[in-house]
Amino acid sequence: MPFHSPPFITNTNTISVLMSKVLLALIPALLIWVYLYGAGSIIQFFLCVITCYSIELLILKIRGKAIRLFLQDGTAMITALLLAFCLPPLAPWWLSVCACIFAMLLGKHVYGGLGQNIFNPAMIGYAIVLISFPAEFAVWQGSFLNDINIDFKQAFGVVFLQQEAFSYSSATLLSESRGQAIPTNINWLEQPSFYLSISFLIGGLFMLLLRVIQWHIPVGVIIGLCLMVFLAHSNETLLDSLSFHLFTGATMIGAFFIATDPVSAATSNKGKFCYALMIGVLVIIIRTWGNFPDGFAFAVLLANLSVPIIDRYLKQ
Amino acid sequence: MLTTLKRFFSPKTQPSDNKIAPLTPLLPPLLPSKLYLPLYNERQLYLQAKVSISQHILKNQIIAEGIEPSALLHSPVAGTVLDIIQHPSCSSPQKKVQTIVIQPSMEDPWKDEPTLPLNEEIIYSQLALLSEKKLEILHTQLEKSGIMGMGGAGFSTIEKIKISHRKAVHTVLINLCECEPIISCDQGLSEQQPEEILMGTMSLLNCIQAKQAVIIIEDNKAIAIKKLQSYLQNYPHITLKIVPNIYPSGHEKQLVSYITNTTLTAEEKPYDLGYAVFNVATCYAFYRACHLGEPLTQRLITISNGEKNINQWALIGTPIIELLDAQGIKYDSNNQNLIMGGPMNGLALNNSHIGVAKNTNCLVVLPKNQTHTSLEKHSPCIRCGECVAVCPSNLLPQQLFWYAQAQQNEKSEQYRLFDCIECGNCAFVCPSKIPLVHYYRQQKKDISEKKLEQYKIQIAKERYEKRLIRLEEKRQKHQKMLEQKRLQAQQKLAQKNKQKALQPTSENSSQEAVSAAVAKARATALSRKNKNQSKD
Repeated sequence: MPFHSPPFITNTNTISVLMSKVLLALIPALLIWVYLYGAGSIIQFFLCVITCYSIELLILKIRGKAIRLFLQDGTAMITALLLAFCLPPLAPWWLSVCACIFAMLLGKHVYGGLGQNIFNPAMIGYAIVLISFPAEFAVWQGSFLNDINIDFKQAFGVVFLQQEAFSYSSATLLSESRGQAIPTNINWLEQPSFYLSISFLIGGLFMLLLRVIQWHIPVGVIIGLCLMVFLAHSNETLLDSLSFHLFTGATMIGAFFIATDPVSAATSNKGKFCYALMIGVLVIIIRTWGNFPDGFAFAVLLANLSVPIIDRYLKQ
Repeated sequence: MLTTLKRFFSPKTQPSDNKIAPLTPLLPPLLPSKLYLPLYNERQLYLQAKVSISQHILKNQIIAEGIEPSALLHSPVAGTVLDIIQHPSCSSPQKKVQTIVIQPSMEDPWKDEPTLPLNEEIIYSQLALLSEKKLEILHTQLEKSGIMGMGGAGFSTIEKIKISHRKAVHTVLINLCECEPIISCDQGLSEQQPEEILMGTMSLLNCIQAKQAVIIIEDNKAIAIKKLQSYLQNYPHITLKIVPNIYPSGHEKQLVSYITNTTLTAEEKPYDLGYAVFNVATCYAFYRACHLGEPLTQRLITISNGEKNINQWALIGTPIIELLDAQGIKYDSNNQNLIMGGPMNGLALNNSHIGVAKNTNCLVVLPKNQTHTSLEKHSPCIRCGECVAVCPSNLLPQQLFWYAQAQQNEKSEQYRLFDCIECGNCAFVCPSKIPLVHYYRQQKKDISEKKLEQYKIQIAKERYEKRLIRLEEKRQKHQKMLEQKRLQAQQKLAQKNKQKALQPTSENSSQEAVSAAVAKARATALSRKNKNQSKD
């Protein structure tokens, strides 16, 4: 039956255009990540992308969906990249594959695929492997800044052949300072997390400019975070603790790339802001009193859980 | 700097304007080979033909009338009625309606009938205080002009004037916001005929007995603004309000909100706040009726293929194909959509032999691949919120879509589905290319039908209950009557027995036997009837 309904024109924006803009915004961080962590990170990126796409393809086939339409939209790519940014660069291959499977399967398709998921898929995948295999996350590869430079052969050995990775590892700022006072006088120029945070920030601002995302969520996350830092760390130097929490861990990637996932976020502008505040506050609570060095994934998942109630009460 | 910042923080994605260059000349009317005038108007009213086949007619002659006195059709040309056929029309592109076909005369197609009577009171540039009686005469005379709202809805203008007068409207708003892309006929009209528009506005003011008029114009029509302003000093009761060019600023509700800073709800009409909104083309047609005595037989139409636009005067009833051909625009129904009205809010006709109607402001031919093609092909909603940012009624289109899909009618009403003005902004910006307006229309229709059904059920139930009560009352009344009759009969019998006892005669006894038999028969008949009644 012919279908005639206004409007008879649309703009050129499609989901794949939207996602490619997100990809474009991720490029600076991607380059820095590869520069810092070298071969392992490249292997990890490819592993995640290939796994996510294979699973997406498989499930779309099983569910009898339009394969081309859904593979083209590029959402699997974003999930894969965000996961790769969360996982240790030298994580064993099965860890990444597990994370991808859980992300695509439990995070996305069990709810009905794109647009239906309650939780952020990448964060589901990450949270499950983080809880299940905490030991693997204790080993975080040292970066180029710590003069650790490994080639493809070594990285391949660690990722696929279970070779010892301890000699490459170093502690991160967040895990180091867990349960202790916030370190003062950090030389940020020596910290890999600082460069990454800045690159995510640049990418995020780029997305704001292209109007891929709106300001409510990133601003809300950062305000929530600052508020909670102010409450929780009032006895320490405010500037130190603020910069510490803004430029370590997943704060920037979370504020601009993870919390802004529209599917699992709240709907109205007020709701989005409230949802983002909640994430910011939860992150500091988990970091300060929780059992994990970085609580971003849990904060996002908890906020995802409360989206229906936020949507109910903050309609406009 | 501030505007860039504003744009940055409140993303509005607008359809590109794609308007005609200012001061493009208006093309004179085309004399078509045939005219198609449907006996069915924009308000879904059937008209009755006042001419017969092969009758010769003059320009401006009334050829059809409706139940409403103002629903009239005038012949745009002098010529012959060729036939009355079944043909689709602009207001019913899917179904065929009775249509008068006129062939223009070869000798003098513009030979016209005597014009409408003119009234001096309403043609000045000052407010005139008119008595109720005078107004009534005026309105009745103007009904013969057959003017209809030319902006789109096609509501009878004289009816609107009458309602506005009754509701004591104080401000008349003239709509010069052509927010839709491509459409530029109102812009062209106001550039070429500014004074006539102002004169028409004054006549409207006087017919309504309103105090002032505001012409609301978008800031992208600089030439029209300048031209109107140069005449405004002669018209102290008319002011100009310039508003930003944001789709859909031309919608009635948006216009009123520009003036009052409040938004009308779904139930409210502009009259309730003391405003009446008229399209500028209507205003011009009103000028022609009041000052020149001409009924509405032609209008300005924008004709476009998405790239090339032109404004042309067209006789009502001119087949669309002839207008397109004259501009060299090809229409292929397989790959292209023929749209009446703008590309954002128009109606797909898909038949190029239809005659143009009084409210046809624009004809656009657009390739089909630019449009939403099917219900199945779109991607799922990712709740990105683009639609929320552009909704002029501040609704949450993505939630409405959700509830429309799930057919949760109550939820949709909670989310103010009926405040949606179907402007199409949400579907325009949607990255998943969901035909949102289609979903909303379907659900609105569904809800209205269900409400009607509910109403009918309610009425039927009430009727049934009333009937039960009525039947019960009737039976009781009947029984009472029976009781009374029985009592009377018994009394009569007793009296007769008394008489009989006093004068016993043979004659009497036979008479008595007869009357006793009659009484008995009557009693059995009554009891039978009573039985039947109780069965009932």
